[in-house]
Amino acid sequence: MIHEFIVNGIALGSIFVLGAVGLSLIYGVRNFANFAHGDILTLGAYLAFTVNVIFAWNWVSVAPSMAVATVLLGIAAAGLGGALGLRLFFRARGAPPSPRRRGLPLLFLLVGILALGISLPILNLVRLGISEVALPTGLLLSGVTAIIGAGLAGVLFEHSIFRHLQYRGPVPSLIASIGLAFILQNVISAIYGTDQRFFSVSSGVGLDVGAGIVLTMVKQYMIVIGILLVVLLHVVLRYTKLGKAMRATSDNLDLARVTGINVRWVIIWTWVIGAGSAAIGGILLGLNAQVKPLMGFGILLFIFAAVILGGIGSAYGALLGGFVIGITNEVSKALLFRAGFDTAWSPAFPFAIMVAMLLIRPEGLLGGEPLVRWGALRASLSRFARRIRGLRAPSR
Amino acid sequence: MQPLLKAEAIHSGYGDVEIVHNVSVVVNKGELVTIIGPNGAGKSTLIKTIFGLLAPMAGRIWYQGRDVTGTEPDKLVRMGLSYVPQVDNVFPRLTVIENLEMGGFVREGDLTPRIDVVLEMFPSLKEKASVRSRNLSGGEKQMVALGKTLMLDPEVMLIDEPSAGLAPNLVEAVLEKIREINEAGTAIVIVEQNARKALSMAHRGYVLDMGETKYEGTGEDLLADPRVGRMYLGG
Repeated sequence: MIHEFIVNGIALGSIFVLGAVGLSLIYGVRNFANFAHGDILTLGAYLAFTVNVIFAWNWVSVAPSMAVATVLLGIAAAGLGGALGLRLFFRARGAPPSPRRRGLPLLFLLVGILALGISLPILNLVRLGISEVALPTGLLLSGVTAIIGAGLAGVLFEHSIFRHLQYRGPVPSLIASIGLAFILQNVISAIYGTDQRFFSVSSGVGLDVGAGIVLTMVKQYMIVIGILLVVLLHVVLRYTKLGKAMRATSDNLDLARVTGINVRWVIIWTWVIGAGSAAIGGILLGLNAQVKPLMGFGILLFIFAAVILGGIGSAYGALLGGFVIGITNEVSKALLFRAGFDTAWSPAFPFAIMVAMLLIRPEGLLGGEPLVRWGALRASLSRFARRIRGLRAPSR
Repeated sequence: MQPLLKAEAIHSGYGDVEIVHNVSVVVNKGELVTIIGPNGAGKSTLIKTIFGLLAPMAGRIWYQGRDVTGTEPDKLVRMGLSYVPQVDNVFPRLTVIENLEMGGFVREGDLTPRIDVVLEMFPSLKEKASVRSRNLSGGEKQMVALGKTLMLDPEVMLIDEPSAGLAPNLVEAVLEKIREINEAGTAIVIVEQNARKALSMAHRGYVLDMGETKYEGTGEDLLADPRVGRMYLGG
């Protein structure tokens, strides 16, 4: 039973990761905690919901040929994106010959996970017939709309609000973001009402992954999309010119400026990526439960916990923190249930971890100085290996 | 001959407080110019004003015959002027190679050949290529900061106290490296606390005190001048 909660935790964690990464990236280049980030999640969910339901593009009822066409289009888009990524990868990779090859295994990993992301719908197509593939194909269109919409909204917020506050320290921007959060919540409530809404998708057929765990269709996609985007983000941050410039700007904005990095361009893209991944998180959250005006604000604290746990400003820390918070939240439900307590207490556990982290290591897991010096670890391991070999060698 | 860089009658400071009063600096092609003076003399303020990080209250800055007063730093970088800050001059969470790549941000195309050239100038960085720069020693960080700036093969480098906080034996190494860079053809303006060493390697020098130019001349002349020696070189 506990594995089931772990799997649920990973699914929930991927939503936190999607939110936390954007929050952390924006904090890195902008130096303020964006309290409107949860509502950008909500905005993404509602944009997707609008396309999904209001315009009645419910792909369940669409002719099978169109569903096939969409899948093919999706594959073509993924291929095109991959080719573009490869180009960016090799163009931005201005490293000397030896370290260049270090990226290749990661590239293969990326291609593998992309292939998994594409093959899962196809597998389902073969297994279940056309109508059951409605979820990925229908949501593709809604998802793209939501990502683009939320990304543009992020750029709009930056241009209309945060840009004007940038030399006044972190507090005015933070207060402004709280105001923006309330504006977004109320505009959304005014347009859509405060009722809970549901995405119109086929529930699909669960995937038996063994150990008695059956993943619902939504959970399958939460996990796959979560991991896919994490890897994509890793590749962007690690290997592209944009990603490196984002990390550099996050490290030291003034130095980035005097180095000649186009800081405005970096900040705009950070908003696009941050708000876009929040939108995906919002869609997944809406799919998993329901769409409502306070959905994003409700998980904002979890997202903050994930960011703090991982180390604020560190994108990799946000990944780690998101999964830890998600898994802790779900597993603690299992433990509470077994001990005979109300499972509603479960959020206490991830926040206890956060408080402990603040007390023990305030810079977070991956912020500040590295926890593990891999070079030193590797050296001591090889010393150890040599000694073992020395012991085994026949002595004279 | 037209000077490469000329700061003319600069008045500058922070907010309403004027720190630099009517200071002029000229840098010719290929020259190594040093600005020395006690703490608080306005050396760093002057160099930041030249690089566009501070707006001058009065005075003009000319680069290659063009008035560049008030030009943004990132535009100056594209024009061949570059600046190495005194502290925090590398990106700590980026590796040595990534720092160099960011140094070459405004360059188009493949950076590999230029990175190889820069690493050739700083052999000690080669084996640390994929180490995050926060894990480097102070001397190595200075080398990364210089190498990062050299990625664009600048015409003029403005270097703010490269020896600050370094152990004495590293100071020698860093200053020696700067002399090498200059010999390869880059004009350099260096602000230094380590006045005797800086003057001995410089073509020309300026002595700043209380925000004003007290003396100027060739490095040798300033070193030999008893007034400079008494006041600024510790006897």
